[in-house]
Amino acid sequence: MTEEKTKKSTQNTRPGIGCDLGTMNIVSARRTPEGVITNRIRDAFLDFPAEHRKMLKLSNVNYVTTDDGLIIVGDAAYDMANMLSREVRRPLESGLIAPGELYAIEILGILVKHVLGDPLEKDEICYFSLPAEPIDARERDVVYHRGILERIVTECGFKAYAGNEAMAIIYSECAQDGFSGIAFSFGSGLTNVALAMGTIEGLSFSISKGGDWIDRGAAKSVGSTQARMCALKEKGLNLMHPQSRDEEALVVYYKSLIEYALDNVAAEFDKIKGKFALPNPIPIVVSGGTSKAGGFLEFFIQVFEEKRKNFPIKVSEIRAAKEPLDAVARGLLVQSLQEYDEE
Amino acid sequence: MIEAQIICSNPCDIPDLGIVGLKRGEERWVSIITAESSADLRKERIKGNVRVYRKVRRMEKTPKRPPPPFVLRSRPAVPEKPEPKLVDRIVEVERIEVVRQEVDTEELAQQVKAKFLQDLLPELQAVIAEEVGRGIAAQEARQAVQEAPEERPGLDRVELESVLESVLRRVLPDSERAISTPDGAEIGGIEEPIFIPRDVVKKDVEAKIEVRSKEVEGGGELDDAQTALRALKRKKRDETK
Repeated sequence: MTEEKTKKSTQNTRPGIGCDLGTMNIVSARRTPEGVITNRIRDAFLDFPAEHRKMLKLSNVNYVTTDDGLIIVGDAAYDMANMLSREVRRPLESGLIAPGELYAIEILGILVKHVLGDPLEKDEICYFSLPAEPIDARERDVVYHRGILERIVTECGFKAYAGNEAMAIIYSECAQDGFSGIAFSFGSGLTNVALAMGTIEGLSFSISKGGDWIDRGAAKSVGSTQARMCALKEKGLNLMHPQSRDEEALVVYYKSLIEYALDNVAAEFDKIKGKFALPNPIPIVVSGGTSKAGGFLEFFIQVFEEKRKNFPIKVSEIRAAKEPLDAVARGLLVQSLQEYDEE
Repeated sequence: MIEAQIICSNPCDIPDLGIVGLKRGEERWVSIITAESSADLRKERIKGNVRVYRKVRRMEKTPKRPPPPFVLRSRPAVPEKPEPKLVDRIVEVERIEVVRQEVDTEELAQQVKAKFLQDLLPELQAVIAEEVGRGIAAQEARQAVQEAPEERPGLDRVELESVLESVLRRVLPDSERAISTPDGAEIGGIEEPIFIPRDVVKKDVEAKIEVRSKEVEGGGELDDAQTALRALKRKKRDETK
């Protein structure tokens, strides 16, 4: 029955898929006759020696076997890392392919394949997310990252198109504003920012600080591990009401990140001031996994209000994306479906 | 010399040995013969007032007298380093010679230059000759078409530049260097090649992966976004017409 339903659903599903390849999560979005279906997996893994293979296979976790052991992938990797006080391994490091990670590309390939599923048709269009070049880490090369992702998506049977991560939020969240706004994608590795006016990208950049930077900094200041701070953050931290010393440390780093992002928007906008006209105030949309912390929007507004006076762009409102983890994938899906419209 | 050691356990006297008022813990040394002939010592030993051992008496060293206080003493002299022996010095000199074995950079430069000329020059010459030949041939062909026999075949400045440019491109294919025109405008750099591996997505890997799926009913917002985007694009297209 279920198979029949899936088959029927697949038959009526429109081709075109969006895929957000982030440091923390890989999310795909597809339009079905019933609505929008999203698939997500945690972009993390943890390796175990061969002698644990049998036991781990029985424990019903996601795994990949290798020649010299077993790799636990997804959320279970995070849980186990917390349990064993180990740091989880990531295919992506600070938003880009981890250069020194031995299994990075292979694991990423397997995860993407499972999140995308099979293409509905040969060379089905898939828009995947690409971060903008980090302005504070120019040595970090996006070109290689893009090449690898294109190759992975293509080898999964899709026709790969790269889409700017923050611009994808404009596509999914700013339709009512005529696709104008400032989008902040507070990711795990990077924070991506885009300023658009009627789909025209006026400004896009990324900064090399994100959720990981918060976790790392807070962990260092209270003598904990990054994985533990991340778990604390996701368990229900409220930025407006920190309850412990650990939470207070997280709040300090959150504030610093928001201030840094806003200061960079102001600085970058100054560079294009004469070239890009903004006749009306535009909204700010905040999204990304790091923005899922309790009270984030309120906290962001509070920090912004301190800076509003000197902020060079008139802001109409500040709002959060409806689905912070899926917003980028949905925006990429819009672009993907648009390709079929134009054909 | 072996003697008799008398150690007092309880205060007592040994009159025939001339020992009076012996206190606990005190010891006296007498010859073995004297000790054996003493009746009083035997009595006291039987009573348990003394113990007698046969031992070699250790002569105690007289303790060093401490220096008198408040006496100025001269600064202790720093012992001079012993002069190294002649043999040691020779060894040291030899060692230094081994370490300071210097590379003759001049000679090395000559060797590199010779190797460069030997390896690259013929290729460079061949490439230049080929390119120049190609340029001359093109010039000749043009002249033939233009029927201008009085002009001597050769290369003008622009053509020579283009020849040299193509030579550089062929000889230095990996260079990132951009070639610029005389007025300083950049013609374009040679792109750095990026290696992207193939077969990244392994097909024969044993894996069990379940993704978290979430279906949101409706999807009206997505359709709205699409409609708005379509309208915007149509508007832009009309404006450009």
